[in-house]
Amino acid sequence: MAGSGNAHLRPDALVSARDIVVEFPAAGGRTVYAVSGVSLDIMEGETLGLVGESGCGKSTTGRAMLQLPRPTSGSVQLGGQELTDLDDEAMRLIRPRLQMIYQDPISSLNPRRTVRDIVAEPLFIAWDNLARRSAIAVWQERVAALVQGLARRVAKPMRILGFAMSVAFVLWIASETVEERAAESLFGWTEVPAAVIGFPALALSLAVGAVFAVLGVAWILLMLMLPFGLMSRQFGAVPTAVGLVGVVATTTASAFLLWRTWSSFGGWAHWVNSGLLGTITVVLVLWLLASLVRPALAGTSAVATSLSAMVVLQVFYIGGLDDTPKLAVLVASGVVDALLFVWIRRRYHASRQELRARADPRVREVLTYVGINPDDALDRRPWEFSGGQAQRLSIARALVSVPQVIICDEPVSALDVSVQAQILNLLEDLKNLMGLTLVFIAHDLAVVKNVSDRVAVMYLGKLCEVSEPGPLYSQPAHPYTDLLLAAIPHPDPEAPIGDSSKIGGELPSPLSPPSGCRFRTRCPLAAQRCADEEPQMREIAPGRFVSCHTPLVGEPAPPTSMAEFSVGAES
Amino acid sequence: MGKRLGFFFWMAVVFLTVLGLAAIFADVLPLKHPAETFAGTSKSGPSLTHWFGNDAVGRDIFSRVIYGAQVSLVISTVGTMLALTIGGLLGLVSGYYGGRIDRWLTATLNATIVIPPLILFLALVLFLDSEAQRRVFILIFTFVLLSIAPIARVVRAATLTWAGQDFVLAARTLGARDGRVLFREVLPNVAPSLISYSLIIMAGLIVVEGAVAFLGLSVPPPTPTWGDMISKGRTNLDVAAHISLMPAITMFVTVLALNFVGDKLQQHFEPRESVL
Repeated sequence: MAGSGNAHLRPDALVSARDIVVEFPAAGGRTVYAVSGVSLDIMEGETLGLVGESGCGKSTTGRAMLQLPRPTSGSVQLGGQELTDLDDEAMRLIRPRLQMIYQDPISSLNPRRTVRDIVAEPLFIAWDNLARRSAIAVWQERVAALVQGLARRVAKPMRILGFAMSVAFVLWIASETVEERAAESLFGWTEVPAAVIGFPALALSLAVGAVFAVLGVAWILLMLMLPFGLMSRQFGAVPTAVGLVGVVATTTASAFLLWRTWSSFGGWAHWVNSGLLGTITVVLVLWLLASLVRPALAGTSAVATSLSAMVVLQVFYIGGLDDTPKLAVLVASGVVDALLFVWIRRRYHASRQELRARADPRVREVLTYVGINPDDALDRRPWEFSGGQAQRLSIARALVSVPQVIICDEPVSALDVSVQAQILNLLEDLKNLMGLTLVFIAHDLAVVKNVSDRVAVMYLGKLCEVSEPGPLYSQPAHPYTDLLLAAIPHPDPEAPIGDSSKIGGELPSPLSPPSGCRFRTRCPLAAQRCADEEPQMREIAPGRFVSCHTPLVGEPAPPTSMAEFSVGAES
Repeated sequence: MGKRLGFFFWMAVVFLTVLGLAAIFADVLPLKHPAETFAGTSKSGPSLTHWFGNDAVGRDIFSRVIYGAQVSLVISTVGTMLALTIGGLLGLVSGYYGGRIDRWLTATLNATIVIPPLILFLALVLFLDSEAQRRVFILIFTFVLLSIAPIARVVRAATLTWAGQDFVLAARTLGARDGRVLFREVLPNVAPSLISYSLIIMAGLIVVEGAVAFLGLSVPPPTPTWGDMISKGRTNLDVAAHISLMPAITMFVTVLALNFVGDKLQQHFEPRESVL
């Protein structure tokens, strides 16, 4: 009977899944209990066969091990490392070690891509994720240092500038007032002492100057940070176009702000004269020059920043032009920016061709392993291959990142019987060659028998029996295993058709699984105890584990006072 | 893929290319000025000097058809490209992520389908209207607004199909990011239907521009547009049918060519079909 328990788990397993629960929300606020507390472990170099009817949750269990989707609860460990706690980013770095082969070889290969790219894709992705991780780490350090340094360096000149501006403002107001006073005195008005007029003017201008200084600092920080922060993330491996859009968008936004200010100042002369915006321009130009001269020192993000600063300056320049040359300069500068961007990317990132060249030997080697001639296959697309060949490609894709564990999700179910044997032998050979650990999911007991070192039988989200294939097939302990074996048709045309009525009824709905043992509704041996109490996994013979109160082999389960506990554990 | 696109496909492509080039280089070509009245005899039919004849005030219809193509092509291509980008992205995101994002996006897009196009045009034109140049932007804006939803729907449906395939799961198993999955795995498969559908949308926009011009809401004179020419020619249909007929035929052939190219391309790029 399908129950819970961890008695069958061994220490030092390479993959260890404990109490995996996977639940999906269903319509009407209900829940699909796809997998309810399955524990499995696989030793290094072992093949675990996972069998059961369609819909029993065996594929879901396999995918939960890959964290796609993550199990609702439970723990999955790979070589002692807990996977369920890892965030997506950390999990991406583990993924090359855990691979999967799918049931339908055609739909698991993208029809638009060539074999060369499909098989190399795991490498591209792994390289990209590695590069990105280091890029992010570097970025975080740099950004912290840069923000602090920038704030320190920029704040002081801006304060000085603000002070200078306020002084200038005062002088200007004062001179105006003096002239006015002179005019007034011409008309015979009473003269007011200069100090009295000067003082409120001085206070006002100081306040204005301070505001300008603070705004200026904030502005420069914003201008440099905005494209800076965005770009350094873009520089991972987001397509060039996206990065370009990022540059253009951020710089356009900042340029628009600057432009508005510029026009409110009334054009070039005033803009430069106003000092503040003039300083911004100078800072940007210096920044640009510095990062172009010493890109290694300034880092990729600084290059990107200077590029965006350049775009800002271009926008300004273009904004000041007449309508006729505007378009020409706009297009020309756009082309220059795009070229610069591509150049910078090429400097820091390998191009697609370089990646392909780097991956090529590995791809060829792996294709040879799986029995496909690389010279014929590399430039073809998956639909030009037969089912068996496509499955070989799928295996090649799983192998190219040198995984430790491959989860084979019914890899031969969609293939011709003659091809099935080829693929199974191939997997067996590769396993021995590369020291792989396999999880072999299938509904065909005969297939599993030949490849597995250990077989686990699943029923409706629970484990029934875990055992070595020999005894399991000769003397099934769990009634469900017995019925499954009885349902295998014999390849003898004279033999009577097996008693198919032995296993009656349909799989109960995983929306409302039966109480106690989940198999009890179809079990010929079901008793009251099976409905009340969920059977726990226990060892009935050395290396044979079964979760059934009344197994066909070994002693019945001893009465337990833990009945309430186990029922509670199931919910 | 080795499949022949056929003679008519290339005819359509050549026609569209020639029309596009003529529209772009209209100023350079030895054409009559489109607004020059009495360039030929009023209402005279097609001749060697005036290939498409002259309209009621003697303007050269051929020249006006070429200049009118500028408006039609600019509005339809720019409108389609914008709608394609926005609608395509929305459809991809909606179909790939599903769930709440999908529900909200679909609801919003469905809401834009409810807007009656003509009333929207009237409202926008009356509300914002002024100069001729501005009218082009209003037209494009409205066209984009109206064609985002249909494009997004097509893309969403295609994305749903493709995102359910095992190779998408495979890419995620390999540790690919959503962006990579969307643009490397899903988009290339969605693209063929997207491109061919956008050509049909483009053809639709040309027709809609004609309809709008008939109501006097398109780009105002003296800029010639196909819709305006057809509309103006209708008073003389009994004596000089060619005034309406020539731009109408051009529009008909253009729309036909766009539809034809779209259909053929879709067939051509369907990988499964070529296997069967």
